[in-house]
Amino acid sequence: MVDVAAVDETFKRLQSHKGVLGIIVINADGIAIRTTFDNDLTVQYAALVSHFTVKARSAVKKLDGDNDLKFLRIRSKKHEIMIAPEFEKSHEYYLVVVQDPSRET
Amino acid sequence: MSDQKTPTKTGLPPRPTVPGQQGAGYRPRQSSQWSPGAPRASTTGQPRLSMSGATRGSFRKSTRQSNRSQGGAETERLQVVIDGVDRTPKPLLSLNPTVLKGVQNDTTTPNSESSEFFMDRMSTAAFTKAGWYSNADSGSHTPKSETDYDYETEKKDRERKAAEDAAMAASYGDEGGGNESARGPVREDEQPPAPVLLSERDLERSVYLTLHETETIFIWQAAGVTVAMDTEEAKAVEEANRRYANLLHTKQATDKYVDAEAQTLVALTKSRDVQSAVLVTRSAAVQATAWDISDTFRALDEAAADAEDDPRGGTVSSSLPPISQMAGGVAKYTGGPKQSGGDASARGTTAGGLGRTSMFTGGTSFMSGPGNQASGHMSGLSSNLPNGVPVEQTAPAPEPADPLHVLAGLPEALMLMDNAINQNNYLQQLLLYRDIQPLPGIRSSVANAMRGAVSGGGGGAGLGDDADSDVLSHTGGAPGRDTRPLSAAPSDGGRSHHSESAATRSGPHIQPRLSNPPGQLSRQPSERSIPYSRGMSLRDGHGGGDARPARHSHGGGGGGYAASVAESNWPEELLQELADLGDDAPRMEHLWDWVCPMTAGKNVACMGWNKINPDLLAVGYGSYSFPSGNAQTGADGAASSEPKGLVAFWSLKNLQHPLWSFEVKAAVTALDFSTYSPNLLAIGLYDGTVAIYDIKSRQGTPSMESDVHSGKHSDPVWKVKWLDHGPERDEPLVSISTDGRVTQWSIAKGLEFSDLMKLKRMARRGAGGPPSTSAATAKENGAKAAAAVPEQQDAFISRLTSGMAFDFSSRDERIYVAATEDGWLHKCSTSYSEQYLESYRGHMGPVYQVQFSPFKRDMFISASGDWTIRMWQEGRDMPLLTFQASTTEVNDVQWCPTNSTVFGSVTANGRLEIWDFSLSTVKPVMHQKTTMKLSCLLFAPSYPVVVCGGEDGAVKAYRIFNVSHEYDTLQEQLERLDECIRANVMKSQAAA
Repeated sequence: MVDVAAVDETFKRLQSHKGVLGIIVINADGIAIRTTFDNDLTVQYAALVSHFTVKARSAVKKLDGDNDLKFLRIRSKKHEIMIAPEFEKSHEYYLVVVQDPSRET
Repeated sequence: MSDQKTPTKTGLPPRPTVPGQQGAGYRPRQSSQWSPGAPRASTTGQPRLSMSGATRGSFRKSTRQSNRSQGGAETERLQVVIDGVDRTPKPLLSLNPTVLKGVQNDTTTPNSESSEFFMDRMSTAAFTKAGWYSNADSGSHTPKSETDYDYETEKKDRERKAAEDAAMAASYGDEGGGNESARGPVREDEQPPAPVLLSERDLERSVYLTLHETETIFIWQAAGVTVAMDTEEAKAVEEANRRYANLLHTKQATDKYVDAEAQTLVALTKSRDVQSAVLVTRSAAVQATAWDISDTFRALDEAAADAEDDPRGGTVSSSLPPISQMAGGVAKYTGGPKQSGGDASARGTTAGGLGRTSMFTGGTSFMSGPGNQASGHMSGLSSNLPNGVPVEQTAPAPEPADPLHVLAGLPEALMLMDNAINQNNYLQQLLLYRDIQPLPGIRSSVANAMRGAVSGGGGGAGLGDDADSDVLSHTGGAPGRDTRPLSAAPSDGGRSHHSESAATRSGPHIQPRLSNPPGQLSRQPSERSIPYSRGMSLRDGHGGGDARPARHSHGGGGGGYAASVAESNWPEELLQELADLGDDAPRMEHLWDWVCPMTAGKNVACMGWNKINPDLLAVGYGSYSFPSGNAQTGADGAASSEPKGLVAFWSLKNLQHPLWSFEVKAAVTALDFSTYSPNLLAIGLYDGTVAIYDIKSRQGTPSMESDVHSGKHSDPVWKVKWLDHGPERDEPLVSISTDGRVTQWSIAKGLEFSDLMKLKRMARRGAGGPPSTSAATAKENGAKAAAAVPEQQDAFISRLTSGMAFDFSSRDERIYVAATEDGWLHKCSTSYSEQYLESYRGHMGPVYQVQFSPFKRDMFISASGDWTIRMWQEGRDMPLLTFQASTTEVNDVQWCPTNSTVFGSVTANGRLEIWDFSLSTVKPVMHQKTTMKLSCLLFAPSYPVVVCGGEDGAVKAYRIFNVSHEYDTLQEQLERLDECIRANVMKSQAAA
């Protein structure tokens, strides 16, 4: 299993980065099991991001069946949404980080 | 036949079964005509039919009407009689008899629709016996119709039929009664039960059906009879045959005659691809909302309270409201400890949904035709499963409290994310590091941040990094800039690509960069040749009339140059030269610090780039108490304070966290990556250990390590280095230590060592000649090899001196120069372990670093604790040049890999200095002041970047501008170097 202490430490480090607005871990059911956003935003991200990611993954897999999606970055005008998905059935999840790259610390 | 208990929903009165017209009135006639003499085979048995009243009603009606049409709309029975012969059109098709199964159906649930369908089907199936009914009165007979079950086809309108039926039953009552009496008894055990209301319990009760084989039924049997022609019977038979032929003859004229080769009609078959309707599946997603969670938990709490109140412990779970079964799924939402069973209950819900789906499928299969009856029945049974009840597998499985436990691979994903964020945050710096010209607009903030360190000069030189930030960023952020008159730029000697660069710019502050001071062109032709894409030419000087941006308070004509230049007492000529360089003046920008809490506060003792992956920097840390980085005057107890060391691997991917790190037992004092096995890292420790780590395995334990039995140094190891002897030969490791040994290690068979040299102490005050008997050395030193040397050697307490650094010559792989603590530099050969080839005297303190020039291969440079940096050449025992910029120890010196006249140094008072002795031998062309003791320095192998580390644990990366000459050929580099040295040596001699 996962060393939770190390994970927590990495979480803290991620959060301490410049411009990081929030981190969400979404499980396979679309439920956020760890989040730093408020509930409404979390629900929105959980619903939208997981769909989008599945869609993106299907695009990748259709192009090449052996391929798979590893990382997804959405650069928007205000934010950058980075998604590190894991599709393994036993531990499917999406790690989502929202960053505002232009924000100063 | 099976018994059936079919609750009737149609309201039809129960009716005696009339399975077929078995009338005696016509059968004898037909039989005698067809096969005279044959014993009449009467039906020996009747199929026992039992069916519901509704079905019987249908049957009865169809019996009456089948002569007219099959399956037509049931109106009046129509019979066409022409000349006493029944000419009623016969059906062209009929179905063969099938085994009639009275189907016990349990599907007569309140679901009226499906049950009605079922009844229809069943009645249809019940009368699919082939043949059609010939009325006994009609007198026309159909030979095929021995079995005279009538059948009926589709019925759509049962209600109307039922009414009709009742009427027909009355009108044909006598015949029907006769048939009934002639037939075998109908084994109908009981009258259909009155409709009862079924309770839920009834629906759930098991229903057992027993199917058993029907006894064989002989309907008719006829054997051929042959009689002799001369008998009496023959006449009768012939008469019968003749009548039969007559009949056939007349028959052919009737409408009912069908000329068929087969005596029976082919059974209609239907082929299907699938036996059941397509399973309809659907997936549903659930998103819980805040109120949902709240409600669920409230229900849970109440249920728990109820359970506590309930004395019967066994019924606790059943007393929970159904919503509690969903609670597991919702509970995950909150990340609380009650995360259990989310999956299980979700699955349970899904299964329930499937159950419903299958029920639905059962319904559709009823519609799919009688052939599918069995499967429909099965589906019907399955549909009787309690649909609404979730499958009972919602028992929550125990799970760890933290849901992150189950997410294997999450640390890797987090690492990836960390890198991505880092690269976002440090995009500009990374681009600078990579020497990539940033996109317009991006760089402005960086440029602003860097502004303090370096600023351009005004005056006639007209330069400054405003020029390039202006060009590069197009931001026009300084309001004053837009107002600059275009005419201010003198347009002498325009060059085409400058015009282009100007043309590509947009906005109000377009300003052609046209002018170049003539001196600049002549001075640095190579700079001019740098491709345009590198953006160097954009930084060329421009018109002096440029007003400084408002945020810079330099006067227009002021000589304000780089702050470091202006503040110190620079020689006039250097200032002038730098000023002439304009924007090409060397400058430095701080990019970032590689530091994390783990390394903060630990002294950076040594660094090394990976030879294959130049983005990977191994850094050795050791928070030891000895005074200055890798400078240490012996091992006198200094290592006692903090024994632990650390090696961290930094990369450009993540500037705030090392890729990997491991702890070692003592402070790390030296490390080096292997060239041909880039995963091997050799480290030297403060306790004298030399260890080799395989960093690919990511284990914090050394794969090889020296111990006291295998040549471990007894004092700190100050430098380790893999010797590059080409890919064919093995790659030995060489270490040097305070204990005076220069040791070569081989990893071919374990870690084997051989001492290359034991550094012997030399008389400092002697005449300077080494005690070497080498002829070359003796000749070189001439008469200086005084006679005083031998007697002084014996006076030393220890005959060995401490080695601090070494470097191998690229000209001859056996030649190396060892730097010692007592200020001597010794040129040695791996072939001679006893004597020095040459010794170089000059340093008055310990020599901390020595390095051969990458361009001129017999030239090397050394840094010493006597505040000086000295440049040496083989064959000359006195330094060529001596550099001293400050009054502190120089801890490290490194040649710039891309410019033969540039080297960098770090000092114990925190100055990072970049020297270019083509410009000055007195002052470094740029320096950076840090607040900590710096101990080591490295140039990046392929980028114009220098990194340095010191006692606060941060490895600082600086971008250096206008230093590289990487496009020069080796020849040009050597020429410049030679010219500089010649000029400077002559200058120093003249001064002397």
